[in-house]
Parts: sequence; structure tokens; C-alpha cells
Amino acid sequence: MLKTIDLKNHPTQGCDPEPLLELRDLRTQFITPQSVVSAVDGVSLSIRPGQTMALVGESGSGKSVTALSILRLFNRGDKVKISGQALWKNRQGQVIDLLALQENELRTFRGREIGFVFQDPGASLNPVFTIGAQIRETLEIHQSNEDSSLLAIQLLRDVGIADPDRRINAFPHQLSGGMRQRVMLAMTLACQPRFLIADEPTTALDVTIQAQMMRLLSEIQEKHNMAMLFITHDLALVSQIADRVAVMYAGQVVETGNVHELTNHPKHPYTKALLDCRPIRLYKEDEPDERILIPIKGRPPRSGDVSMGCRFAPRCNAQKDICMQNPVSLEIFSGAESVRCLRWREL
Amino acid sequence: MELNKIQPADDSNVANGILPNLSATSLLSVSNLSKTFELPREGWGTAPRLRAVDKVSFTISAGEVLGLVGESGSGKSTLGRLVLRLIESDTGAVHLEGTDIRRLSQSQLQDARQKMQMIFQDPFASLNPRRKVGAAIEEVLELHGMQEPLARSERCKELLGQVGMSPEDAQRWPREFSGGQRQRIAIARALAVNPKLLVADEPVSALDVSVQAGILALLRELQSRLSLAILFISHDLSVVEVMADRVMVMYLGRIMEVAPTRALFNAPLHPYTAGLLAAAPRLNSGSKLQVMLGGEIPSPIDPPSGCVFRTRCPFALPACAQEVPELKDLGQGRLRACLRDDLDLPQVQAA
Repeated sequence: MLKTIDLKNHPTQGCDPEPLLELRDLRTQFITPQSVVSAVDGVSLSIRPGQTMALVGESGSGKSVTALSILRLFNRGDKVKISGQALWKNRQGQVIDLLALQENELRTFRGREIGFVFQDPGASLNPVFTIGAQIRETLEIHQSNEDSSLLAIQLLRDVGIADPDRRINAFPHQLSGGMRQRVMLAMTLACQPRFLIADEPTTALDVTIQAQMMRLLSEIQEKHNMAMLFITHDLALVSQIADRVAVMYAGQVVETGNVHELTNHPKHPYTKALLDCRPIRLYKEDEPDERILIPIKGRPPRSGDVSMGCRFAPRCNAQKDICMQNPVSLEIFSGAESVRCLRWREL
Repeated sequence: MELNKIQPADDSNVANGILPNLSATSLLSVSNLSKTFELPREGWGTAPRLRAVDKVSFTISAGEVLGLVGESGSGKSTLGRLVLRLIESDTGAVHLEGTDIRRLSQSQLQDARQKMQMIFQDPFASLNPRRKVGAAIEEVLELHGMQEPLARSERCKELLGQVGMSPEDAQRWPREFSGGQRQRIAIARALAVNPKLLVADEPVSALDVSVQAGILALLRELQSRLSLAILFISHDLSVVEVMADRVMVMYLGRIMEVAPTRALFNAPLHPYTAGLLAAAPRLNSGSKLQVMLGGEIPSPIDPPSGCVFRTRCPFALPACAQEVPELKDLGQGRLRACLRDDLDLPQVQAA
């Protein structure tokens, strides 16, 4: 029996009224004989049905580990300690803490309720089976459908693969990167998940294929009211596909907001810096064009090497002494927006 | 099939009208360059052939940055390697300051490489992990004739300074540096021999966005200070827009369009360029991503007849399957290979 949780006893500030998934104070640590590496350090997020939440940050910011922690998708050998809550609202309206589930209970959520698409579709497909066999396997595990071949062909057609009757007999290496990503998506969508976690699914693809994939994803989302957690480092892409954005730095969320507000009026200096480091060229008539190239100085701290105060302070242009003294908490303002900076109002 | 009449590997091709003339300022002049790879045979049939670069012609002036864009599989990396003769071309000519590097002996080629160097995408793979940074740079200097150890070490420190590193970094190992710093070291190494041409193949694609801007600014600064010419290969249109003076668009081994950067981004003349620009994410454009191009790039083993782009082109006519469009000079530095002269392409990106 799954434990359900009475939400009334767990009041939260600044969260949407009816979240499908709500992370509360998620902490994930990797334990090695030498050290304890804190990859995610107190992340709270909530995502409503049908909504797209983008999770943005540099490599090593903890965005992928946050996503992996929800379903505990770690390598068998990894010693991982996860704390906090991942509150999931099931189809009966009950709220279940995914982090409190046993491994065998959690298995019923993987794929069926929450789908996952990774950056490298090559690594997620088995090279020695045809894609048809792999899609059928997914269908049989989760749905025990008798006519899985026909359904598999239909799924390939749904994700925009031309000539699916022939392609179903192809091996992964016979397909392009974009095509393999579509196959992964077909397998994921076979179970009609209510929530999709997409970890940089288009980063390795050409922009033309990326645009096709994003259109496909948004069509599927609309049709099934599927929620999505979209992990990326590309803020321009985010501005065109997301409803809400959470920016992560060194294992913590530093700013959340709706996409329009966050990309037009960023509050946190890190969000500003991420927006400003995109290359821009200003064309001039009578003088040389101006090229705006503003890197973020320094590099992200290694885990365990974070400063006492604001973690971004060592790289921040607006840093003052007070920033270095105490840990900075996430300040919630105007409903669901939040920012982790002592000086954001004056900046 | 007009293009087939042109004889390959003939210097007179430069004046065949589809190219801007080889002017005194042209540092690099490439004409009718082609490369086909033979793939392993499957079964008893003949080995399949992959046409990677097909009759490509262009020039780069001294101190000019020419951007090269296109989807993966367009042949842009192969073209970069052909220019440096890291791989041998089948036909065509590559003139660097008037010398056809395709006809040089190996020892002559080594001398010619002082004038042209390359930066690769992966700064983790391009440095020997068992060699200190200083040794890696001095190796290049020694190879190109700098015998005096003291002079080498001085030059090495100067080079590290040029790329924003400190002289002490010469004594450190590559593993001690981040991706961005390693790319700086790779740039210092490429500049060691005072090249006139740099081929940069996706030099920032493996780096975090926060680091990219610094490397781009460095390349642009070195380019103007040392009056370097750069063939800048990238799939990232925003990076190419900021770096390039002119941009060349490639598709399935052929050049589709060449134009000054501003003109290309403001008003593309080739449907493929327009499709690429439409698909590129833009911050706060207020719109969803546009999908103008369906499908994906066809296999270069069996490229479409006529215009190679026609299978994805929203404007293709039956004639496009018959005739290979020439790269025509339209004036004002703009060249385009398209049969449709009547097109009015949408201006996809405002200035």
C-alpha cells in the first residue's frame, strides 16, 4: 500500500494551487570513500499539469541530478543519499511522496507516470535490438497490449518518423541522431506519462531538428495535458518553449519566475549574467560593428568548496561584504516568484 | 549540367565567372574542391561512396573572418580539413598566398603549415595529458625551426600572455585547467608560428555558455591585432553572426549561399539559409520556434539529383531535380545557388 499524504498539514508558500509534482527541500549527496559531494542542496519546485518548467544553469549546477533524484535513476554502484520530498498527485487525486517509496513501488511510476528523455539517445537504446522490438518491450511491460506491433508503428508515425513500417525493423545505428531521439520519445510516450522530464533532449541536434522536436513536444503536451520539466542551458530556447523557469547555481535554485518576466527582467545577478553572456552583434552604419561578448568571470565552485555566504558572490559584479557573511535564503515575492539575493531590490 | 564542363584542378577555374576574382588581397583561394570518401563494402557489391564536399569554391582575404555554417553532415568540417590538407582532396585547388598546397611535397607542406593552423572543438582531446603546457607549446616552436631553448621559453610565455594566461601556467599540466583555459592554451599553440590563417572548427561548442563569450572575444581581439584570417566553422548561428565578416552556408557538400554577415542575417536569399535562421532560438522574440524545414539532411551516399536541397525546400519546382544550380554572383558580395530567382523570402530576423 502506498502511503498518501494529507497536503493540508504541509502548507507551502508561493506554490501553485494544484501542482502535479512538488519538490520540497530536495537534497542529493553522492557518497564516496573520500568525500560527500552535495550535488543538490535544498531545491523546492512545483509543476502544474500541462505546464512546462525549464531548469537552467551551467554544467555542474545540479539540474540533471535534481531530475534524476525524482525517480532515483542512479547507477547501481552509486551511493546516493536523497532527502526532502517529491510530492506526486496521482490519478485519484492522492498525494504520494516519491522519495518515501520502496524501489519496487517506485518502478510503477517510472515510464508509466513520469517519462524521461535524455540528451544522448544513442546511449539509451540497445544497439543489438531493432527499434520495433524495443518499443514493443516498453509497451508489453507497461500495458500488456496484444497488438503491440501495430501500436509501435502508430507511435513512430506520431513522433514524425516517415515510413514507420520499414523503420520499425531498423537498428539504432541505422538512424540519425534526430531520428533516434524521436524513437526515444515514441517509447516514452507509449505509456502516456502525465509528466515528462527532458534532460537537454535537443542539445546534440541541429537547430532545424530541434525546432521540429520542440513543436512535436508541444503538440503532445497540449493533447494530453502533459507537464514537462525541460533541462537546458539555452535561455533563448527557454524563452520560446517554457511557461516557468528555475535557474540553478551550485546545487541551489537562485531564481524562479514566469518565462517572460525572468528573461526580460531578471532579478538575480546570475540570471542577468547568463542572459548577458549570449553573443550579440550591434550593426553600425558609419563605424565598426559592436560585438558584445561578456563572459561570467571565474568558474562555478566545486561541491564542498562553496563559500559561506552567497554561492555566486565570488563571481558576482554586485558583490558586497554582506554577501559573504551568511547563507542567503530564497526570498519569495509576488506569489510564485522567488530570488536568492540580498541585493536584488537595489540592483 | 553546366558545372560538369569545368575541369578540376585547373588554375584557370578561378576566372570562370562563378567566383569572385582572385584579387591581390586574397590569402586563401579554393576552387572546385571535391572530396569523396569510400566506405567499407557491404556484401559483394561495389563500395558505397560518400560525397562529402562537392566542387566548392571560395576565397578568404587577409585578416578576414569567414563563417561556415550548415547542419551536421553538410561537409563543413571536411572542408576545413581539406583546406589545411589534413586530408587529401580528390580534385580542385587550394591556393594559400598563390601556392597550391595540394601540390606541395610533405616537407614543403610542413613549411606551409606555419601559415595555417587549426583549433579543434574538444580542448580535452587536443592537448597531450602527459605533457606540460609549456612543453606542448615549445614543441610546435621547435618543429618549426626555433632551436634556442631560451628563446622558445620566452616566446612560450609571451604566447600564454597573449591568450590571457599567466607565464607560470607553462609549468602546469593540462588536467589542471578548465575547458575554457585549455581552449586558450590550444589557441596559444596555434598562434606559436605566427599563422596567417586559422581554421577554427566549432571552437566553443564544447564550452559552457558562460565561458564561450570570453573565448570568442579573445579570438576576435587576436584576429584584429595580428590581422589573422579565420575560417570559423560552427553550427551555432548566433556565434557565427558575432564572429564573421562574411558567412558561407553549406548543405550536403555544396555551397548554398555566401553573403556579408549583416546581409545574410537580415535578408537571406537562399531558402535553406532562411530555414536555418527561422529554426534558431531567439530570446524574447515573443513567438514559438518556427519550423520552416521539415525532414532531415539526406544521406551524402545517395544525394538528390539537381539541387541537393530540393527534397526539403518548400519552394522546389520539377526543374530543381534536373539542373544543379550554379553559385551565381548577385553583386554586393552576395552569391546564391538557387534556380528560383522569383522568390521573395521572408525577412526572418530583424536587425
